[in-house]
Amino acid sequence: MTPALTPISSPDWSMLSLADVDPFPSYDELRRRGPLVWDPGMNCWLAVSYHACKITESDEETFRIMYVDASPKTLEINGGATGVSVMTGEKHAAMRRVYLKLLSPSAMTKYRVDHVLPVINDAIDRFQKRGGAELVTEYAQAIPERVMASMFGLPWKDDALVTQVAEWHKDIVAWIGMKNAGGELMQKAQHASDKLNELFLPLVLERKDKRGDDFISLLWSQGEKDYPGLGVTEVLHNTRDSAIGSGETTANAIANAVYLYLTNPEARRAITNDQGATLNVFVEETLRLLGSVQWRFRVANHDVSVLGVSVKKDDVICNLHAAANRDPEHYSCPHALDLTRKAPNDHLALNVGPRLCAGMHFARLLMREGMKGLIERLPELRLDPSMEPPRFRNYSHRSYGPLNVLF
Amino acid sequence: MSVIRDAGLNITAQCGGCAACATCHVYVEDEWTSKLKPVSDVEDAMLDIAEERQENSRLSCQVKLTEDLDGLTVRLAPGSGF
Ligand code: HEM
Ligand code: FES
Repeated sequence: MTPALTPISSPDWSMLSLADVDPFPSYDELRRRGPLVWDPGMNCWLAVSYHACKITESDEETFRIMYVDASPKTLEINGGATGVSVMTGEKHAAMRRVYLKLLSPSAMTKYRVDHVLPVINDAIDRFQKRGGAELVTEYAQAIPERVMASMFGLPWKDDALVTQVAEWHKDIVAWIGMKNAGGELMQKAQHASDKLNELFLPLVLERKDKRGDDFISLLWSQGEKDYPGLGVTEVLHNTRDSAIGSGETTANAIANAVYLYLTNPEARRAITNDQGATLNVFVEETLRLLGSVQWRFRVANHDVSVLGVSVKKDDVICNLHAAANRDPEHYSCPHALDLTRKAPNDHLALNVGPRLCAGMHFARLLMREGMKGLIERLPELRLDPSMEPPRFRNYSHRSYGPLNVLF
Repeated sequence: MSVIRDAGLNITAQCGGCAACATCHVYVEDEWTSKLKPVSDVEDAMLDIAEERQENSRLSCQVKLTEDLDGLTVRLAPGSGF
């Protein structure tokens, strides 16, 4: 039987059949089979319940990240063995504190003015006179790519450079999303990693002695205070880690926010009228309903029962945040965009537990400012009915597109 | 932390209680500070991330509520409100 024809109730069904199609009806059906369901195609458990995801992500003693078992080559391609997202234990905690300080709520004021608003205004300037645009490539993807280039002190208006960096990151993300598989995906990822090191290493070396207020200089300065033994390796790996962690994640999240804004007139009115608290809830509902990164993997350190399901030592669990974020046991009317939802940020799109997204305040800043830019400057914004309608595209990182608009 | 959230106050508390985000930072009213268990090393390190740390700063997710803490009063610190 081909994967697409296998019913979800069958033990042979695999999530692989959901690439490029709306996965949410399938997640609801899958949940009927239990909080964790074995996926023979992905060769792992799919955790579809909110509580199952929260349990596995909050307990690193029992559930390790996949990078613990990764080969040195895999770690190198990912960005390097001392990147915060691949380290564990006290080293992870110490590097994490460096990030949390650099990306704290109070740091956002300066980043907003220096890096975020110039990029957003420039992005809109580029297409405003045309009367139409494709907002996934020209806005949602462009914003994090250019903002991070600006943060690193790179020439963010150099489109060739920024696009190339984004392509390299895409090649690596595609390989990570498939559990760091071998073959062609790995070869492309290796090439991309080498190129990114060629780009970033000279900057890391230069800023060791010549500090500015760019993110690489800040990693040096804060890291020297808080991370014992910080050197070129650590700064390079964490430049790479922050670059890859911020790009596709935020691009998909912004695209999803724009899609919901364009297709929910009531929510649109509400956030147009209140670009403070209501917009903030809208951003959280976007993250909950559509997310960005759809899942994260964990591995069981020993035999363990998760909500009554027996998971064996070394079994891989795919924490399917996108499904968990619509778990009716945790959310009332889980499929509804609800701007009055209690505790709106109580979702898993940014993870939960000791590895919660260290860039969460920055991610929210980009999403909120991205929406404000469109609300303020393109009040007539609407989907172009003559163009291909948006679909929930891709697989491990997803968003609605294309977003062909008129204004 | 969960009590604050359940009461309907907008606390970020994004890591869900793992002392890993510092977005559940609160100030404990003076008369209660001595009644709480002391700050652990992990909490202390994370409180250093928190904005405007004070003597009476705590991560609310690390305060285990017991009967003798009935009446405990805390204020949300900057950076922890959602
Ligand atoms: C909406 C956009 C974003 C989403 C949905 C997102 C999501 C996530 C998720 C799910 C993780 C956990 C990975 C795991 O444990 O397996 C994570 C970790 C991380 N993210 Fe984000 N992220 C976003 C934006 C950003 C930005 C803008 C930055 C930095 C500027 C960033 C930096 C990081 C870092 C450094 C980690 C590793 C944290 C650790 O291991 O302690 N992220 N993110
Ligand atoms: S909830 Fe994250 S530190 Fe308390």
